[in-house]
Amino acid sequence: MKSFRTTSAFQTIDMSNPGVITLASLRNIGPNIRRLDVEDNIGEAIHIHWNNFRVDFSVHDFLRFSENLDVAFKSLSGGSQSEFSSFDPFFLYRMGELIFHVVGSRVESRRIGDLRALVKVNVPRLGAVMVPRKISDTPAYKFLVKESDEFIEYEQDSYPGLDNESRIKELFASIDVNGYPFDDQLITLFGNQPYIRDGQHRAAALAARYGFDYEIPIRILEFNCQSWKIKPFRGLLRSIAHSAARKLYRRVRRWL
Amino acid sequence: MRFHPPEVTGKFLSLLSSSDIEWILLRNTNDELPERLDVKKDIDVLVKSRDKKKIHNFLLANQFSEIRHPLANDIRLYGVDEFRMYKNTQGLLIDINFQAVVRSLDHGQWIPLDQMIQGELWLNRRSVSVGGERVPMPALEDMFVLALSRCIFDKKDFTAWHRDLLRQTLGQCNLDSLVKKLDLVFFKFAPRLIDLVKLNKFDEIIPDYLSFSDY
Repeated sequence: MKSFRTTSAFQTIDMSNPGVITLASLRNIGPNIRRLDVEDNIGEAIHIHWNNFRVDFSVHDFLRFSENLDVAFKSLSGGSQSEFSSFDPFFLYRMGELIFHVVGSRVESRRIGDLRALVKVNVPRLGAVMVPRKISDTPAYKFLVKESDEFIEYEQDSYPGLDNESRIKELFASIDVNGYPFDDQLITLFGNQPYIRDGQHRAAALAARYGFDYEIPIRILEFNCQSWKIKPFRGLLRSIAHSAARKLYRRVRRWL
Repeated sequence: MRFHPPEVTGKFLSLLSSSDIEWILLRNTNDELPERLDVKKDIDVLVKSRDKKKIHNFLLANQFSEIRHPLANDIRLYGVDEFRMYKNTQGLLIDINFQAVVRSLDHGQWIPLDQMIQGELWLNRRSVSVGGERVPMPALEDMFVLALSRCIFDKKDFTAWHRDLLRQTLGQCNLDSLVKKLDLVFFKFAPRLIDLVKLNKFDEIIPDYLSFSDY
């Protein structure tokens, strides 16, 4: 976001680009990366901030660099990391440091009706909370079976530059043409939890096409840590407790 | 719509002009000053950072009191001073900035325009008649840069008034020097930006800017 233009040996002028868009931002990934940010400084450069270093790329060079990283990633052999070559890059990005804790991966057959999706719900006074829902209760499924248009406005970030409606329609058409799984891109769960971590829209499209009793192959990742577990109701309870504590604090202050 | 009485706005401009404070009237959108300033709107004033105390004392001495700025909780980066808001007994609001700033595109933090632009704002300011009162305003070139930056980063829209202002101002600017200045904000998009204004294609500016990748 900021660079320096030296005008003399003793003077520098700050030059900040307000047209900055954060493309990716992660903290504390593994032992060597405390900060990793990728920023598009429109008109100027793509910046990769890695801890205290910054590398500047032209758009062309950045695209070539990311293609080369992709090739390098796919050519990694041995260990669980070779599994990742077929993963959606955005899902890998969201996995962050969990990537280093993957110890196993297997493919199982599951009934679509047994899977659960994590849906963002706006709870009054608490804000957005992720709540587990049956596939039949997700905005994407309801949109596909024409029950509700809530999905069009549903906030999500997995596919930048593509609106929700176009994305789900493209996916639905792709399932008809290419089947499932296409390109080894399997719906993914973590451990013994039924929550879909990647492929919620694929599950909604498959359910809309074939029904909830249809069995599909899914990928399950196993970890050597506990931080992969989602405890959605605990999060909700924590939010309620915080809200109640704030209210109580305000009342006590007023009373004092 | 209710307006502030022109004698109230005019008196403020006159008092500030006769003070020894270095200031600039940042904008007079829709030529609303002094007669048609909506009671809900404020007067945007840029003051030199070193005159912070002076402007505070000046406003207090003229029946203004400091109130909480509506953007007080916003994040300010790269040394942007806090914004200040003052209100007088007639409800006239004065918004004081100490730097020319815009919102960044990602999280909307306030960041200063390049220091060269800040410096030139003070060097090139011109005296403009606002309701008969001579007040300092940015030079045309600086006005163009400020208006364009505001439309793209803060408002994300070009109002009819801004379109007219940009078209008219462009015709009176030295293009080489304008490109150099715009380059400090829009970098390699600067020449394209001027072309789009020249061609009156204001609706294409923001989509073109966001999808620009030739750098």
